[in-house]
Amino acid sequence: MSITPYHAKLFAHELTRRAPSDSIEKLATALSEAQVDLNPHQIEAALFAFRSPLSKGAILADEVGLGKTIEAGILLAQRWAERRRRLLVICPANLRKQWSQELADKFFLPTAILEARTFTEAVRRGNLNPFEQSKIVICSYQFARAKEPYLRQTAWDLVVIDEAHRLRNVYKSGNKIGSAIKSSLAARQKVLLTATPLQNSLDELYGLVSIVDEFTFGDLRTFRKQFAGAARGASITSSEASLLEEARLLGVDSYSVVPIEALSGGFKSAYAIQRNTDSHWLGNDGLFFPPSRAGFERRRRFSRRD
Amino acid sequence: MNKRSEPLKGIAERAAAARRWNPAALKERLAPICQRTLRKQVLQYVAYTKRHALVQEFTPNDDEQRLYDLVSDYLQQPNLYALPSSQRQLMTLMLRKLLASSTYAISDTLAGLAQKLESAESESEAAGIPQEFAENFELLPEIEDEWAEDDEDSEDIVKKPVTLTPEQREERRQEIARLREFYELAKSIQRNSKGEQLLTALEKGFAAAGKAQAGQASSLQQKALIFTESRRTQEYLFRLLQQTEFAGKVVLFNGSNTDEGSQRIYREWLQRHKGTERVSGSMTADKRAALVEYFRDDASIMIATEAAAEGINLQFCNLIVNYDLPWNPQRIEQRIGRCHRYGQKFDVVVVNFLNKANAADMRVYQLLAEKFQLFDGVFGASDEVLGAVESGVDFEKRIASIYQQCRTPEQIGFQFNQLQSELDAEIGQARAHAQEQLLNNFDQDVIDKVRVGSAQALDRFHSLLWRVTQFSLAPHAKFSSAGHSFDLRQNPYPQLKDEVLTGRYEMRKGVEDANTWRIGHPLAQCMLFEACNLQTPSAEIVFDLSGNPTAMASLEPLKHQGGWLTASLLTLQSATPSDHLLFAGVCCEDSSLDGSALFGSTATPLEPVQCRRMFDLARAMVQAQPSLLLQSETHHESLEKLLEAERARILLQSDTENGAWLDAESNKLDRWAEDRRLMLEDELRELDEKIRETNRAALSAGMLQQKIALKQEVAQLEAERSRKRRDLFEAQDRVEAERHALFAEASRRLIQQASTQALFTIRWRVI
Repeated sequence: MSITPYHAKLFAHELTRRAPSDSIEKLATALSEAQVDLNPHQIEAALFAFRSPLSKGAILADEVGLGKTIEAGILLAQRWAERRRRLLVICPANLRKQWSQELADKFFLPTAILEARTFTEAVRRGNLNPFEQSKIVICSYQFARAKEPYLRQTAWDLVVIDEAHRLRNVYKSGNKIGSAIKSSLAARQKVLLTATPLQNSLDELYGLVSIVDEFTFGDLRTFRKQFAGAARGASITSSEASLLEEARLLGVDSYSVVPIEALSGGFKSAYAIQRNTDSHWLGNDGLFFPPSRAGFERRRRFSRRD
Repeated sequence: MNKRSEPLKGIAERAAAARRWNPAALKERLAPICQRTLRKQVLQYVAYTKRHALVQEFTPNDDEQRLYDLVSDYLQQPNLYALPSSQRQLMTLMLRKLLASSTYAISDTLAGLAQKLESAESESEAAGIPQEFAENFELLPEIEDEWAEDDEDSEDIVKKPVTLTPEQREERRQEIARLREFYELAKSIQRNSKGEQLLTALEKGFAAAGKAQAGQASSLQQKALIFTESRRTQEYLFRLLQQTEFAGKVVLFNGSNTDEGSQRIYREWLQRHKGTERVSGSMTADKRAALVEYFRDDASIMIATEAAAEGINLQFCNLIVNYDLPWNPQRIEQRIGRCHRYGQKFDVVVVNFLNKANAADMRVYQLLAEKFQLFDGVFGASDEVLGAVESGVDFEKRIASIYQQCRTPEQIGFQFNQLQSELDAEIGQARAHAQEQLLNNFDQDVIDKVRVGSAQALDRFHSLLWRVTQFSLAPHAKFSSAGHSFDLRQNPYPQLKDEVLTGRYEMRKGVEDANTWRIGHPLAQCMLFEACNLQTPSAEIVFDLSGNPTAMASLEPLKHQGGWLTASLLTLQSATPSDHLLFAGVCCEDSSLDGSALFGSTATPLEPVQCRRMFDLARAMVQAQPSLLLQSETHHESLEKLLEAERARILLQSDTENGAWLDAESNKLDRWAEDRRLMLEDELRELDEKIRETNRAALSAGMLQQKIALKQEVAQLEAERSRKRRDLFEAQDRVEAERHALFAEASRRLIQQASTQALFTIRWRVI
């Protein structure tokens, strides 16, 4: 079974062609390079990240053990095959070696771990921006932040951020690593890997999404208005519900004032408002705990006063 | 201004959020950017095995207990010269871990501390952490990093040399004496009650691990991976096992791998794999590979430090012994993950050593086993559970502080109860539920399609690569008759002499004793580049329909026919460039093809797929006919027309696809702009509300002064509102303008520049 030069030329072009972003052929080279058996959900995740030619990246949030590293590896390998070689992996310091090893073992990808020492050495050898080199660069979060200007001026073809939930507080002003990474890589394509994109509040999800694409949501304030409370299931307990219901039944509008002494002791301690008992009024939002029968009339009097 | 009403307001807001809460809307906006798959969704193609926990209890003897109490007591002192405040937490953790590991682990470190104090030139804190500590406790630098991360913003404390008072000097001298005393005691303890249980633990473990393999394995695999945090303990365990039936079947794995046995294993491995790609040239990496291979093929037991074992795959082993246990649950998960991973065929047995006389140890174990469920079940610790403790470092620190503060069993019990109830609160189901509700878009149909599609794409890809390889390397290699492998006799590209090894190549995954043939290989890259640029003048190619493994129904009608065919490469330059192969062909009704009269109106067009399909036929040969060049001219026009139609079709298709993406992008930007507008309006609304509130407060204010002050506040707020109202339109216009700019940029990125490169034109004949 031999072929002619015409076949060879045709096949060689087929093997090296760049396929459109929404096709499996797009990943064929990377898939064929992989030294592990790839699972369909991994291929699908890799396709997902850059399905749109306008995509700025994605958050790949599979549960632990489903091979997020492999998903990122497929994407890195494909970029590599397309000779787009400004590739960066940011991960916790203790995972740098593992990344290096996995990319080599599973995808034949050469990597360089960049840290203070190797950085200085590279500069001494004449590379004034060691982030630019012929290998995939791996560095820690701290290092990425420390070398922010270098990170910013490198025209990355793809940045992989592992254990990205570490950046979930990026929306808070004090998060230096998060904001450094977000702002210096804003224009680049990124893939964030995390098994737990949502831990405490929905704000965190907003934070992670904004790192990938700033234009998916407006700002945090509107986001909260629209979606807040969801992280804990946006729910209130049944006792809270009955409390609100009673307030409604009492017909108190939202600007009524209620004397603190009208409230039952149990409620006071339950909502930790004791520290405020020195003041006479509790709130002006019309919400209060249904007091004892005796207190009811007193409150009526008070609420009419305004 | 009304802080005191917040608890109530909070409920109201949550209630309002619950009413508004629309997961579908948020989910829809997250869908293009977030992808999540759960383990339970992939069970059909990933076979997860279970883990089982076994506990190996031991009780320290009197000397061991005395050493433990003494050192523990020492570590609880408020001020220690050997552990200056900057290193205190970290060193305390290390010492506690070593103390729990073995007397061999702790003894040298105690001596090291004493020596550090004695030899320190300055009497202040200057001395750093001795190098040998990190050599024994390899995790030290890593934990140092992890713990430091949390205080990234704390400023470095400037250390000033302090002169000690005579009293302090005396204290310091006493501390040295104490450390020496501990050292002597540790050194005198030769028998470790823990170590004496090792054989029992292994027996139990092997029995359970064997049971897990029962009925599934052709031959029983008796392999155990023992983890320890200390190099000294590792050496001790090695000596211990040398006196048992396992003598000569134990391999060590640690950060340096410089012991005699490892060196020998490495040398033999080098010998075996000389001249193949297996040898990477990095001694560290090669040694690791050699030791893992030795464990797999020859040894029964590997004793590893986890710092070193990070990232290695030992799925051929299904027994793990935690001789000592890290407190960071994520680290334990990492350990178990070495064996309990994709590719593991059997249930994994985890044996944990537990000090029965230590209340705190018992409670830590209970938390790890019950709350984190690290040692049992199918999936190990779930993300929600691991995630609940942030990075695991917090948990580790918390445990460390309990050990540090608690002296009585009551205190220990109390602190652990507290920690446990906090964990219970953290490991909530609601959060996990919200996460899945929002992020999961798993679609079995999509996954099935990907599975079939990728398998086909890969098959095709490999078969093409193999056919080109056979063609291009024929003069330089000997191809085996079976399988995708060949022997490279000489390197055809002198410029690659450092990168290309001669010898055997195999095209498949996981090649061990040969080189891997793959498209990314430098030789393959050169070969393909050359093939892309082959000279292909017009010629006649005869394609043979007979002898094909699969039927070629679409080509059957072409049997005994002939005609012309041209191929070219269309490149679309845009944000994501793509290349497309174009085919155009005609069939001429008569097969004789030799008179120019045949060309013209009698030619019927071929489907592009038919043209491509011809090249999949197993047999084809070139009939050299230089004179064809002239004849192809006569047919040029109709081929060109067909090619142009094909080109237009692909452009249209690509444009349609891009149009859809642009719509999606535009939709996203619209919503972004809407969000921004909402925010601007919302600010106004809040001002309105604040004005109303302040007005009311002014009405009900008793004191005249207070009334006046509030009214003034109202006036200010109203002024601000007017200003904001005026600004609103302008701000909205700005949002609009930004949206337009973003859209224009997105459109620009999708505009395509098409260029075509002709590959070849041939006369074809199918027989």
